[in-house]
Amino acid sequence: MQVSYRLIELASQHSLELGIKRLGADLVAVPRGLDQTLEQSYLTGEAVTFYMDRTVKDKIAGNSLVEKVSAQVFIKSLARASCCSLWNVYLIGFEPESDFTILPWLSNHPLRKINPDQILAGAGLGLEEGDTVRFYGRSLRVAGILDPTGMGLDQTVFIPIQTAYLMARESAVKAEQPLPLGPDQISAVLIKLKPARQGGMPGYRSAYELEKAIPEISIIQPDDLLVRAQANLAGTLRTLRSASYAIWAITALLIGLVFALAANERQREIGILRALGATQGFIFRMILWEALLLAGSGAIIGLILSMSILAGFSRLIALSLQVPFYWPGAFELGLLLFLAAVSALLTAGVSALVPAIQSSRQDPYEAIRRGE
Amino acid sequence: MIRLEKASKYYGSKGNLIRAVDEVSLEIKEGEFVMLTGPSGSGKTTLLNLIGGMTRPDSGEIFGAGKNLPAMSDAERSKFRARMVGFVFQFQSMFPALNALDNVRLPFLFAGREDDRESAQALLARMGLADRIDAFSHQLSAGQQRRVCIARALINRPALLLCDEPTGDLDIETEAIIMKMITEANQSGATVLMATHNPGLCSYAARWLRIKDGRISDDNFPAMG
Repeated sequence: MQVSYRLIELASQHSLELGIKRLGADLVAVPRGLDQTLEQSYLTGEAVTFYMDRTVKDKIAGNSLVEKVSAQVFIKSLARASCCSLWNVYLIGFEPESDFTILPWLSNHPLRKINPDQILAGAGLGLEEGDTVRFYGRSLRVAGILDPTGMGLDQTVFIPIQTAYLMARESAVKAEQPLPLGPDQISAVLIKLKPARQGGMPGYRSAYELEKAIPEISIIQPDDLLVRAQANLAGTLRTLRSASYAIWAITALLIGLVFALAANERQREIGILRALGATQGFIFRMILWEALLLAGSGAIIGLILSMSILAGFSRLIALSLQVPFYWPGAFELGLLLFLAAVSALLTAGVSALVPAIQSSRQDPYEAIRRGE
Repeated sequence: MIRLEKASKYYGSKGNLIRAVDEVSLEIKEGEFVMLTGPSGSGKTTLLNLIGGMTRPDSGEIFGAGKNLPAMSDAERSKFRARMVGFVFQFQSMFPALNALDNVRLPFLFAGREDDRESAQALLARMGLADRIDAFSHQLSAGQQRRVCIARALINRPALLLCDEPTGDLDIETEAIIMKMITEANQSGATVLMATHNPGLCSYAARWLRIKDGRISDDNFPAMG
């Protein structure tokens, strides 16, 4: 329980840090009132589609607080349609010529430029470089796989925006259902703000100014995403934390009770051992070792189970808690498992202490009589 | 070998005090085979346990191997039991998690002796259990289990063998085998004190004690008589 709670906390923190780094923009502009929809989509990977006029991009670019802008369009592949090889996948069309979020990643990759028939796939889609996929009847080749973040971005396919428009245009003929995206429509504008030395303002201030100047947009601050996800998680983590402490205390009491009962059941055995010459210390150590062995085995089984459950249900956890989930690094994970095992051993050791002392201090004959 | 001076052991509270052993004075010489008889609840088992250093008397002195047992620390009494005493209980006392051989080897651990698998095997063979050394208690008959326990009691060649109704629930054939083992141990030099209900077994001993209400009522009374 302790491990699960701490792991969810670590995993979401780790994931958010990676995801926000990947997002790469200071601000994201979306149609008025749809900021929370996109925030949720970033966290969970649930595809959302909405559009606004392309002129919004020019209005934002013209603002004195803004250094760079790049537009994106959001598309969702069709479900149960032969024209789409992956169903319900989130497709993001980006502008290679102005993009400053995807291309920096490409600069560390042998592939430095993306062609119109190429895509970049999120790590959670199970695709490999060189694979061919089909969306709305158009075949595209996977040019690269993005590093995992645990966020919704892992379930996303990035395609050049012109390919998205072309796909939309051809969809009326090639797809089972047309893609309702016009060539003058965009879904979001990624914004890079001017630094303070060039007259820029802090993100929250710029967001306010932009929303005031351009009424048809709402602004998302990626840093807020971190705060919002942590807020989403805070209640759950508080409950998990309280439950884990309560379970810990109950477990300690139960272990103590179980060992007291077990020691009581074994009075005769303990008496016989003492008759054979076992010292009080031997009996004490024997009961304590048994407790530690049992706790150790229990800890190993429990940790394997909780890891397996978390691994198997990480996507479900992310969706239900509205938080991203990406496993922390090997060192953090190892340390967490080590501490959990030590804590289990300590709990068992302390719980078994009283029964171990009581059993070892009895007269051998008294122990045998009680065991009869 | 063993000397008791007004040794007493009581159970219960003031209003309901049971005098399990009541001011018993007794001396048992080295190499003696003493049979202890008496009705149920007369104090036979408590007396054996007092002599074996399994419990402390409420009053009086008990000397074993020249030392006052009640004055010893728990560790010293544990060592005394491990090196000097062999117990055979009236109940089945094999450890179910260990096989016959490991049950017999267990006392080496407490006596500080080096593990001697061969002598444990040889002892079990003498008990007629050569082919049962790997058997666990649930795979053995009551008589076989009792023989394993006698072997365990004898493995450290104790100077004092305390047997509490060792043949109580066994058939005549097994009883004879067990009595033979105990007699052989006595002939090898062990002092034997054996509690029994069975007057027929008194003939194995040279001395007979009768205990009643926690007191020795007869010493060396005619066994079959």
